[in-house]
Amino acid sequence: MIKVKDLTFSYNNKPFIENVNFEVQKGEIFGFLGPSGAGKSTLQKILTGLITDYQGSAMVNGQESKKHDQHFYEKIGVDFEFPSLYEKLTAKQNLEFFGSLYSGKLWNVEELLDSVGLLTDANKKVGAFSKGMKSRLNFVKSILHNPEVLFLDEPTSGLDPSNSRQMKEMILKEKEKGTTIILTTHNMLDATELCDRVAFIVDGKIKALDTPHNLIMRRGAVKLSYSYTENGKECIKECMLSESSQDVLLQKLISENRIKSIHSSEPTLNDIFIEVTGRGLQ
Amino acid sequence: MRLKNLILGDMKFQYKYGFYAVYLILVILYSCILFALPEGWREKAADIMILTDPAAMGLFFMGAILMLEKSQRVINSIAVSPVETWEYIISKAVSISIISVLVALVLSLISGKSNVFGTLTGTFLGSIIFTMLGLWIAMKVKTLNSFMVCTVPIEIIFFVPAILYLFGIQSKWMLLLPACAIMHMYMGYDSYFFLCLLICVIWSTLILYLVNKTFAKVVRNMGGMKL
Repeated sequence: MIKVKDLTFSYNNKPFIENVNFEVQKGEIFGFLGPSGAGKSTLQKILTGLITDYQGSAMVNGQESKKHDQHFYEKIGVDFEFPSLYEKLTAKQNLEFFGSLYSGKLWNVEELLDSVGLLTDANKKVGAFSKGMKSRLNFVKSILHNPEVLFLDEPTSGLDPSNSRQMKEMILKEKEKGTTIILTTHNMLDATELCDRVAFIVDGKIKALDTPHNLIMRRGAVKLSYSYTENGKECIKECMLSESSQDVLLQKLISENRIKSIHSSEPTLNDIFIEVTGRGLQ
Repeated sequence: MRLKNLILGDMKFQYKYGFYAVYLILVILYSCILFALPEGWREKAADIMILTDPAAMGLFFMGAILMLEKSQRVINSIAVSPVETWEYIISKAVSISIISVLVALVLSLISGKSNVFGTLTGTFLGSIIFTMLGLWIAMKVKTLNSFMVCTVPIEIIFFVPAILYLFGIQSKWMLLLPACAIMHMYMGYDSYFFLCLLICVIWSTLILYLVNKTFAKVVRNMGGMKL
């Protein structure tokens, strides 16, 4: 669905995106993970055909992005980080206007609004919407024309936990339909929960690319933490999961049934990101 | 079909933001002024009024419209839709021109102008040119204040020769200036009418090319890194 080969781009003489290679399969959620200014948005602009003077190849839906015609946009949807809606128009009028720019089959506007709990607000001006409502409307605007590839830029940014959960469920529903999704984020939890694979991007280069699980497990740093009581005081000890059989104290406590609690703790994607790139995500 | 939908969308947007209401009030105001003038002055006064306001309204309003679209980030969504850049520009120009022509029609009838067709044709073409120039400036600047400042030289370059032309300070070479060509079309139908029309069409095409190129740069610099 997406094939990027030896992609290099610069805004001036210094390369901003350098020798980037990756492929995204149909129906996959692929995450670009990186700090602000790492090149995530630039990569997205290249893939969406907004930047065309790059070197290398960026094939989207079988079309070289820099040589795209306007039909290219019939099959891609973009949900920007911030709402891009006419504030004086109602939710329904916004969807009807943006829908009228496409020639293919569209979703029913009422059905779409209903799917994100906005049907009762269909005739309300967008300017009166909360941030969560605008984000949901912005999302359905991006899938209104049934795109085959969907680009999402920080889809849960600024949303409360309930709206964030709802947004993630909508993204997963799109994946179930077979839509290929490119998720740009610096939110490691979103990436871990949603992405089939993630690419760590720093200074315009991909530093690592794998499934979140493999990236976490590759480090092999899963720890085991256990607590027990010694002379009336609670003690907590840790050991590496891979070395638990050699932990004499742990074996002794288990055999004496003295363990009060025990759990494993994996590193987060953020820990892995810092380890791989030497930089934080936020 | 898409262009038609874009134009209708722009007209709805202009209606919601009160453009039609503002021009209804202005038409009443201009009509009162025209009625207050001696009959012999009305036609010339109407020509100046029509050129400097309804025909040039795009020059003043495109700054506000584009700033608003930038602030609401609507332009981002349009950039990743099947809309061609020229369709976006034409839609803005045509939707504004419709208001221009309506206002020009009322003022022409009230002032008793004999050449209504020439006035409306000139106003339509003038509005296309001025709107695209306004769009070009709005793409180049960051604030509404700088937009207003940048429009001043264009107003002087366009309006002064046209007003001089209206009052008889004329040379055939002046018709190469679009505002003079428009003024000539206002003044009456003669053998130069089609030449003036052609000059306006050529200017429109050149400005469309210029705005189209600038729009591509605006899209490239939207969001993310800007250098």
